Amino acid sequence: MKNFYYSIISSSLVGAKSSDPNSYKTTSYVAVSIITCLNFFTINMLLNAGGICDILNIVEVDIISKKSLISGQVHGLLNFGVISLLIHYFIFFYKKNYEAILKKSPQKNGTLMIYYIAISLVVMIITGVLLRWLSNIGVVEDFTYMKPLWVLKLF
Amino acid sequence: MGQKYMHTVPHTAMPAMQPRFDCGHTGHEMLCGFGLNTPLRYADPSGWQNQPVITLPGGLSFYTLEGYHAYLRSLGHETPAFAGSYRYGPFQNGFGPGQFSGSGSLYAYDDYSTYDVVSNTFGNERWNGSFAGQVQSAYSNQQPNTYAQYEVNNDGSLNKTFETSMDNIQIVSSQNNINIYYTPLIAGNGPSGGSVLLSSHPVASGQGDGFSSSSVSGTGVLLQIADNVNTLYKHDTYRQTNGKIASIRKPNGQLRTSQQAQRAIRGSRLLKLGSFASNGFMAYNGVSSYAENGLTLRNGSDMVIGTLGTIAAGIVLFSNPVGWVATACIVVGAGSAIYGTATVGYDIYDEISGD
Repeated sequence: MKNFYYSIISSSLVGAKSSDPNSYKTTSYVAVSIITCLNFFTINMLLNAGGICDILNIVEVDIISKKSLISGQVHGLLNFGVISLLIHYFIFFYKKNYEAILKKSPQKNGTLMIYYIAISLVVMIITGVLLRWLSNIGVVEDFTYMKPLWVLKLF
Repeated sequence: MGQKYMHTVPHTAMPAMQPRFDCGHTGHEMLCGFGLNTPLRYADPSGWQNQPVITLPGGLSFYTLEGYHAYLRSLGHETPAFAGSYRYGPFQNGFGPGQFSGSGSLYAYDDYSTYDVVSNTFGNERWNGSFAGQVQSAYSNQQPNTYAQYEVNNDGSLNKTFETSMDNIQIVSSQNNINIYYTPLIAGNGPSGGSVLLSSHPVASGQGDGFSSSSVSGTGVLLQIADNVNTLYKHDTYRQTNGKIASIRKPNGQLRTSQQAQRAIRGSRLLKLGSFASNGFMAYNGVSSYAENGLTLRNGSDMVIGTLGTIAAGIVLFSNPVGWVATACIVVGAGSAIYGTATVGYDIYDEISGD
């Protein structure tokens, strides 16, 4: 599993390097972090449906209106994205680990990363749809959010 | 045929180059960079021996692959359609009839910015036939097992920018693109990652492509403005040698500085990443809202458009797309941009009107 994940990271590094050799590390780091953050959300939905934990809501966001697109995006970034960015910072940059990843799991191009992106998003949607359906027929409860530590409200 | 936009200097301006590179074709001779021993085009500035790359059974010789493909085109053997791919495997005894894997068409260059495709029928002969062996022979006579890249100085002289063993080189073709990768070996077991040395269709990052030009979704309004500025600050081409940006051309053919090129490319990269992130979180917002409130037109659109936009941005970021793939990415990106901008506008209007 770890090696497979390293292969994905290696694929993203090689793919990004093919068109921009200067900042490919940052590109890969941000992109992998975002997709993994969406996977965290998928896992969080499943755990919440199983009654194990609440949906992560450390920061509650209400920028324009609580259900606006920008509020939703910032909510995802602050609650799931920050954690993912922190974890991947160490995966990528701690002791220049990206170099070891490239050597350990060599890839020819960025195809694997593109598959990872597509599959992650599709799985997230399927999970959401499935849980909503199970909620409608009474098998699982609706989402329960944790009490926020901080409320971000602009208007 | 594809466009030829890279030759901005007339032949006569570089007389020193003519005997060496004038192979009867316009355009590619005046490029600033090229590879020696590349199977995409053969050119040896230090030891041009005028030896044919290919000699057909009837005795007809071709000194460049471009000439050969021009001949094929005249016979109607080449089609503009893409089918299949091929790969050069340095771990399979270098060049030789057996080193190609896969099936389908073999690409060939017309110059460094355009390409042709050989039809399946004709291309298949090459996998098992003598073509590869002949190419190998021609290369070996010049610089055996060596790959090198050169750039042309303003006075016509040559400057070697990169040289390595052919074992460290891999040629990988994707949809409509061929990349020559530098993949140094680790203890003879495999490559350690790789970087592109030459590409048939390098993405002109500095130009601000169609996708990044429309990379607005949700929070991307400012990114749109920034990218429009970047696009107005137009660049024609850029080139990578040995992993570094060396120069970039203005529309009038003059060279920009390396610093300007890097700045433009980084700017374009930032915009693509912004698009990737905002589309990804748009999908998150759609799924989150749907799972909580049930399906509405709004969160359904967020899910679908956000997902498509993220995938398209991922393709742009990690695969250097060209042709119809690039067009699809631009269309999806533009759709996502329009939707995202409209959505944000609607949300702001709602907030102001108090609905």
